[in-house]
Amino acid sequence: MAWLAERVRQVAYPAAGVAVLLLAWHVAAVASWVPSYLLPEPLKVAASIWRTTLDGTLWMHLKPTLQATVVGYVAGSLVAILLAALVAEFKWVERALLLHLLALQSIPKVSVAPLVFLWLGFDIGGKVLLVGLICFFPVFANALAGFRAADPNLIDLMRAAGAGRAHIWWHVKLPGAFSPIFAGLEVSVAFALIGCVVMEFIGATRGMGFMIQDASNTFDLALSLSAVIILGLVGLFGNALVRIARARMLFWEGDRGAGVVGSSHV
Amino acid sequence: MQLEIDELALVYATSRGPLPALEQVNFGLRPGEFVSLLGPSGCGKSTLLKLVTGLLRPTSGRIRLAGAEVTGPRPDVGIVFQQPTLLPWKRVLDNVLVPVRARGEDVARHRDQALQLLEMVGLPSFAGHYPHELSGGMQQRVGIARALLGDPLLLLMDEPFAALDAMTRETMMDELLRIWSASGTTVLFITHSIPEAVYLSDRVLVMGARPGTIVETLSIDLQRPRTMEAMALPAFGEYCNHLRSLFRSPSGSEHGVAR
Repeated sequence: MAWLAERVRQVAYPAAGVAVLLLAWHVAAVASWVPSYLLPEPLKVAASIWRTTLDGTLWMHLKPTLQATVVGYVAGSLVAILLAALVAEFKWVERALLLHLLALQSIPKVSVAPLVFLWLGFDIGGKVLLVGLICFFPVFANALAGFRAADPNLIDLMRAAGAGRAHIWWHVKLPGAFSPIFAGLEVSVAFALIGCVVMEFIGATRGMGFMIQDASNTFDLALSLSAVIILGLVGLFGNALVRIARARMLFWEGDRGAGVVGSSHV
Repeated sequence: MQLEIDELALVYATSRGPLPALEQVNFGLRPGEFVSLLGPSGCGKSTLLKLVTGLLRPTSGRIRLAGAEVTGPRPDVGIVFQQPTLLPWKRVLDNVLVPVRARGEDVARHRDQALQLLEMVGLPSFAGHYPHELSGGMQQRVGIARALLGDPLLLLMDEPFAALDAMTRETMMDELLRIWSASGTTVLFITHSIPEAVYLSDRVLVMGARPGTIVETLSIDLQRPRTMEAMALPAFGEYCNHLRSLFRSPSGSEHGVAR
């Protein structure tokens, strides 16, 4: 029975938190403490989500955002892992690249969004580039730390057995770096949507960013908030996917995760 | 001689000039002998280990393994570290086979021996387990099985029990003696524990630091097979006291033995 009570507590407390928030929002809107054109009541937002889901407009805007975000996330993360591996493995790559990469890290990535727009336009290309840039650094920093933390004794053992560099990398260093790499991937998944939405603010005819801006311009705040809520849910879903993948791949770690190294300016 | 070390010296080049790590190291191991290297941390024990496995080249001097000079990495030397250094994503059996895979040899051919070795180290039913499902002492046994695979000419152990709790450590000492007599391998055992060195060894080589060199060799004439009761013998205490005095005496500190 104790576990059941614990289970109920696990669900009940967060649910109660959301309920209180929604109730306060509802009361504030109905009592007109805030003008309804600035804060529509929650039921209107829910109705807006329902309507756009049924008539397909939500999916029309969500689809391009999801596509660009996923492609940018995967591409940015793969490039980050590859570059981190090269920097960790070859001294000359580290000398040639690391300083510049760290300098680039301090640039807020969204500040180049207008440039990216001019270079690549409002097609998927520009969004992928900005998403990729934003996702790059958290994965890069964590992957680099992971590759560098490889156990020197284990590497000695492999070298003494006659293993080559490629063998050691593939069988020891890469799997050994999975834990920090996933820590970086978890951070990046939250950032990825930012890059895509910002690009859609700047110029787009579709996408969640466009939907939010278009709705706000026409004072359809219920629709605007719907899009924001959907984006939040998409972010949660993405995070859950990465966590599940992590638990599957790093089965030996149990619940304890690796600490995240560094963070990124978006 | 299974292992012969002749006038071995190693000088590291550092930013503050040459740093001699080892100087005039001379010793030999007979086949099947159990020899401990006893010394304080920083005396160059780990450097010596890298030289014997061919991962480092000496500045001068020679190392011969079963008559042949060591000139590069030696897959026929088994190594056991202080940490088990297992791959957590591989099952116990695959961990034992890791060096075979690294050598690019046929894994299937060594499978039976790997299973036999797991039985010998007392883990017959754990081949399919993952390392995180094993205790620290059990993980270290897997490391020993891995090192013994392929019947190495020499088993190098670098403070293998230092990270274990005192009780597991005593069990592992007996287990190691049992495994050693069952396998007939030659062991070079690096430690900074005096009773451990005396209990396990045929001979104890005492190392001094900066630069590392052998300052004394002590033969341990205690009957084998040994049990923990040997530790209560007067002779055992005398050996320990003698070794301890080396680390305390003024002449010892001149050698850099004391720290």
